[in-house]
Amino acid sequence: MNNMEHIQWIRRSRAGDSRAFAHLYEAYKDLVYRTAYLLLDDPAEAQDALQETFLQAYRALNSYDPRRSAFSTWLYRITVNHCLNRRRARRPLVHLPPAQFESIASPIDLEGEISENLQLQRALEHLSEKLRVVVVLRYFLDLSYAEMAEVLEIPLGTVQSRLNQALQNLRRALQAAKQPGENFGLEEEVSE
Amino acid sequence: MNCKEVNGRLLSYIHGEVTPSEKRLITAHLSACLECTAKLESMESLESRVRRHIQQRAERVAAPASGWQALQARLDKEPVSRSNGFLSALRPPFFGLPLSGWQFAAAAFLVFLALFTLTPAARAQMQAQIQQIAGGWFNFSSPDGQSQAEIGGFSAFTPYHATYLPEGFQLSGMGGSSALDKETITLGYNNQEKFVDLAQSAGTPLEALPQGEHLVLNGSTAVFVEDFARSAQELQEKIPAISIVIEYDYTHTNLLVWDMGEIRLQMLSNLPKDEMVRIAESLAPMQGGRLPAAQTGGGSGWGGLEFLIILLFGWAGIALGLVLATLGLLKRSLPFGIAGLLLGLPFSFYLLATPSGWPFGLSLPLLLGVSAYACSKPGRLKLGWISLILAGAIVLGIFVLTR
Repeated sequence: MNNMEHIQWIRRSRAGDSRAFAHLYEAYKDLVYRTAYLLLDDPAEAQDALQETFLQAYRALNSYDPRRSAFSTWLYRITVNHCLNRRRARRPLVHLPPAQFESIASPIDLEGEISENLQLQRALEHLSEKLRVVVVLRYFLDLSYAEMAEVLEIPLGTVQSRLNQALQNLRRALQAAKQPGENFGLEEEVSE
Repeated sequence: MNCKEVNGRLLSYIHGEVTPSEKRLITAHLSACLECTAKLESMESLESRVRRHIQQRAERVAAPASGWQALQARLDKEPVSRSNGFLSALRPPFFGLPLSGWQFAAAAFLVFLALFTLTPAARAQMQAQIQQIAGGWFNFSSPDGQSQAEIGGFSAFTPYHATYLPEGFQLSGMGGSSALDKETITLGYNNQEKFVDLAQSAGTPLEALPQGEHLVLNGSTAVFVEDFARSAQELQEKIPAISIVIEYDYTHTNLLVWDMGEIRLQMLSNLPKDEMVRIAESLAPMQGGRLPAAQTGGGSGWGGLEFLIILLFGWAGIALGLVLATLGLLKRSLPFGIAGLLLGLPFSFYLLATPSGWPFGLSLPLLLGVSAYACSKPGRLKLGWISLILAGAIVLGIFVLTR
């Protein structure tokens, strides 16, 4: 995407030109929507997050400083913050104990890859918010560590340790799922 | 690098988020360690699996087509005025330069400061102004009313001067030192080879009076030490800070020590005791007040700026600086952080000119600079707060010490 074009759109949006803002929306809607979907696991909530993110961005456009961060980074920060607030507002999810998890997973076990994907999805859903966010930013949005640090407003070292922790937890969870009866491995998630 | 260290950095290595030297070390280790190579491969495989899964999952959904219409309906209800006048004026380009208003102001201020500190005349004038603001300026006339003198930069006490001097005596010199804990003013009077040195100090608890003949001087106890020193050399040994004048006769140097309130006075002289006592009894407080601007070096243009300088160099400037720096960290706003730093500079500049305050004069801008830097680096907020708290502690400490 052309950066100069973006800056033009931002400038015109600031002046109240909604067509210019429509360009920004078009350029980022899928990335924002999909990020929200990956964080919230719910298409309706993701749609709501998409609206709220752009509404907030429009209101805060005057405080956006192109020299301090890329527009995308700024927009992702709004997206992530909105989604995390949304998740926190939800009632706590009831985590199924390992035995019940196995009983859900077993019938599809015959299907090889589907089962693997399901296991991975379950493992991802069991990651804490903090770890889940770094996984989405890295593997969906392909952000560098520095960009992730900017979006999440945390030090570079914390990004690195969270990503390490997330992969470690995923690996443990996948290994545990392969060995029925064993601990799912999720309690071992270590906070920094 | 050992296996443990390599393991901790494997993911960053895969992502190319290691320094070139780390990369060399890890590559070298991997070429020799099968276990770590296996871990690398397993990590890569897990990563690509996670990436593939997430990408596939994301691609299954897309933003709804009607999204923009729904959003536009909500945007239409937003207030029309999107510009926030004053602040948008501070955004780049400013005067056609790729700088924001804040950066422009900062650059202009630094250039101004540099020009000022590089020009000796301007600097002297500035220091005189600072002293005038920081401490009291006092003026006094000679007993015969023939000459006027000023002394300044002191805040702990109002100094005294002699209203009686023996025939032919005149003011030969003034000196002083101002530290956070002690201020001393020395007045020298002379007449050919006779001299009187009067040192006045305040700030530290008074020491016991020396051994000698006890006298009553203006109602309080004084001690007279006859022949305190019999030569310039002996005097120098007893009072290392004294400046020896070769024309003076030091063979009978007497000392008179007494207190006036919280001020310790020491008179050294080769005059007889009764003359010294008479001078001591004649001491009167100097007239406190501002030195007329014309006498600081002829800066007639200073008058209008004086108020601004008092604000900038005094407590108001640094207090406002600390408030802005705090806002900068709270709002994560670099302009506020820089404004805090800039407002801290004059106070720091003043501290640099004081004998014991200069380490703080150096560290304050540094700490405020770190705090400003942290405003723009979200990951460094903790560092910013620590710096700001240290800067605040320094200012508070100086405030308490100087009250």
